[in-house]
Amino acid sequence: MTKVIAVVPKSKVKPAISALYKAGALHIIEHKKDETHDIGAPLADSGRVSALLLKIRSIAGSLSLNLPKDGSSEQNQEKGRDLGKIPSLASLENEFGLLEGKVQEVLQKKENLAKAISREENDLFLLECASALKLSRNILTPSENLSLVVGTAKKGVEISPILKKISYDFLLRTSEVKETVVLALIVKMSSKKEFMGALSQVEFQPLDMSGISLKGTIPAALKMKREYLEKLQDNLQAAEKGISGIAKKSFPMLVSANRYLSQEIQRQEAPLLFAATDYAYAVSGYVPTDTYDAVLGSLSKATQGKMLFEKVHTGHDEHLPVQLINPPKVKPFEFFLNLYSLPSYHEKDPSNIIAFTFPILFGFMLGDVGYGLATILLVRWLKKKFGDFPLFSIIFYASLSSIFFGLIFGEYFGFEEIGSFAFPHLISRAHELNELMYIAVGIGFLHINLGLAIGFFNALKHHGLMFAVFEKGSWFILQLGIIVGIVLFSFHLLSGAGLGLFLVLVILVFGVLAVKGEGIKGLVEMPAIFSNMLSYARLMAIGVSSVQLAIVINENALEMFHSGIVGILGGILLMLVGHTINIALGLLGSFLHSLRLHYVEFFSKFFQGGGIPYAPFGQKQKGVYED
Amino acid sequence: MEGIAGGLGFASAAAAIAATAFAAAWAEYKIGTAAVGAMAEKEELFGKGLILTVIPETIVIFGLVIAILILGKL
Repeated sequence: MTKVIAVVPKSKVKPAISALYKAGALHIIEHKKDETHDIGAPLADSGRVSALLLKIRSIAGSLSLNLPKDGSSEQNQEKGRDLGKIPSLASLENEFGLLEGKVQEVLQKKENLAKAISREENDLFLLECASALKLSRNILTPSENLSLVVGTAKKGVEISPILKKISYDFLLRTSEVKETVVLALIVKMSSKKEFMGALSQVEFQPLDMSGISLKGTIPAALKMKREYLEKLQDNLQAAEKGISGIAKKSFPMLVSANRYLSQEIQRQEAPLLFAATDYAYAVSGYVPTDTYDAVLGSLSKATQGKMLFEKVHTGHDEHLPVQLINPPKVKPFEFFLNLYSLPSYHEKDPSNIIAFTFPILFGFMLGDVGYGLATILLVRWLKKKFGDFPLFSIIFYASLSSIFFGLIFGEYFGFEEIGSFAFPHLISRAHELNELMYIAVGIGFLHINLGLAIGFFNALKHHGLMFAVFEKGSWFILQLGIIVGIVLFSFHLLSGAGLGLFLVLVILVFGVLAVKGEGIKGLVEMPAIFSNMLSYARLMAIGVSSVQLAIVINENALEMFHSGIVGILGGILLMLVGHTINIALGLLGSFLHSLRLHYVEFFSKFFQGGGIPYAPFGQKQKGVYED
Repeated sequence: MEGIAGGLGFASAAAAIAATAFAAAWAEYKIGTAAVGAMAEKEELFGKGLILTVIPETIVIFGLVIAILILGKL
């Protein structure tokens, strides 16, 4: 990365921003307002662009369309309109103004229809109640002495006994409409209040029957109402069809305009990141060193040489943005760093090492040819269904390693032998536990020392040999010392007391070096390196648990095979379900534990992290319109 | 090795696993709750949360190693 400060006169800022955006290479350092320099003001059209963007998104919202977010996948780009000349803001404003008017009109129409339908449905219900309760026009006509009460009540309660407690002087009809109990009660005006009180016990809700037209017979009115309602519903359907037609037709246009304007708003608001003086803007940022000349050339050309540049020296502790560059096969493994933390600018990107070590640890745990093949098939299916995610590629490579270790362990879906034929193997996980544990811890020893070696080179590169020896070399000396001591002791070249003295000496040397390199922390962490190595015993533990489960499944299934056709079917089912669960558990466990060994045991030996991702100002995807 | 000594050996191996498994589980429960809480506030903490949550697992691995070493001596 090269740090650069560019100064451009205000008159040339528009072409300069366009060129910057097109180059997509400058990681801009946002200018904070200070005493000497204010931040820049957005370009003239920013208000119009954001208003238009808002309008487009509101149209999409009211049409229930989901606009793809800027920077989303290629597939969504295809949905956009064909490339054409960049439209003027005025023409876009005009186009979407008209569309908004049209959309509002149809939506209003739909809303009115929906309201009318709800009103008519209510009326229809009242009419149906009147019909069910056999209320004639005479009864519905208000009278002076008698009062008619119509309403709904709770289901499953006898109403008349409740009313009879007050008086026998009433006329009650009940019926059921659309699974609701409706009742009509005629009482004397004078006793209405008491009856109403009693009705509250059955959750009575009055219905207002005054809206019912008293012309014609009720059945005729019912028929008319139903026909009218049907017509309204047809109209509503037509309106909805119209809306979805508009949505379908305008979707490509909305998508491309949304994308173009999202990009345009970034350009319009770019000066907010700049420092401003009365006549010029200054912008500082980082450009990848290899594209420096090309980027500056294009900027210079776009502003007719009015833009001035100056390379700035970067301090050693300055946080430069980082961009991970790896070959396609290693690229998926950057996922682990994105999840954890990007390496800082001055340290090595460990992706390529993880791409090598992660599958090894994973395969050691899930080492079974059958399981490896099954997970490969699973990953292929997932890729087809959900697209290419880094996680799928990682599991693919890990599965290849599972097959490799499966061959070493001689395991095929948990079977080590079929009949009298035993699969060839180098070591059996089901029977040689102790050996497996030593190998696992041995892998830990190698892995941790690999981490220390990377740490050593990182330190060597940036702090010199002495510091590297103090900080990381001390760990090698400690391990080497202990190994030499034990070897001498086992060849009887050292007595027990001699070994003790030798180890004290080694620890003393280590202590002095480590305190110089890492401070007191190094000394405190001395036992941690051994516990870290022991932690790799999990490679054996997870693996053995997976094998044992597979063996239990197979043994039970094979036993079932001896008991007739039902037993065979049951056995097959048990194998299918059992191995599926075991693969799922194995995938999850092996993946997480392998990841953990990297993050905790491996990374702690060299990785500092805290890198800022390189996020250049400019287009992450191709533009919608020709430039 | 048979008799009481053998039995005690098996019991110690079981105790090594059981005690460390409980310890690891208890520690992960505490850390896991806090990590999920932190993640709800800030999603980027997933990586760090995961690491902190799995750190105590080593305890049970130590237990397992000890158990295997004991069983090897029986």
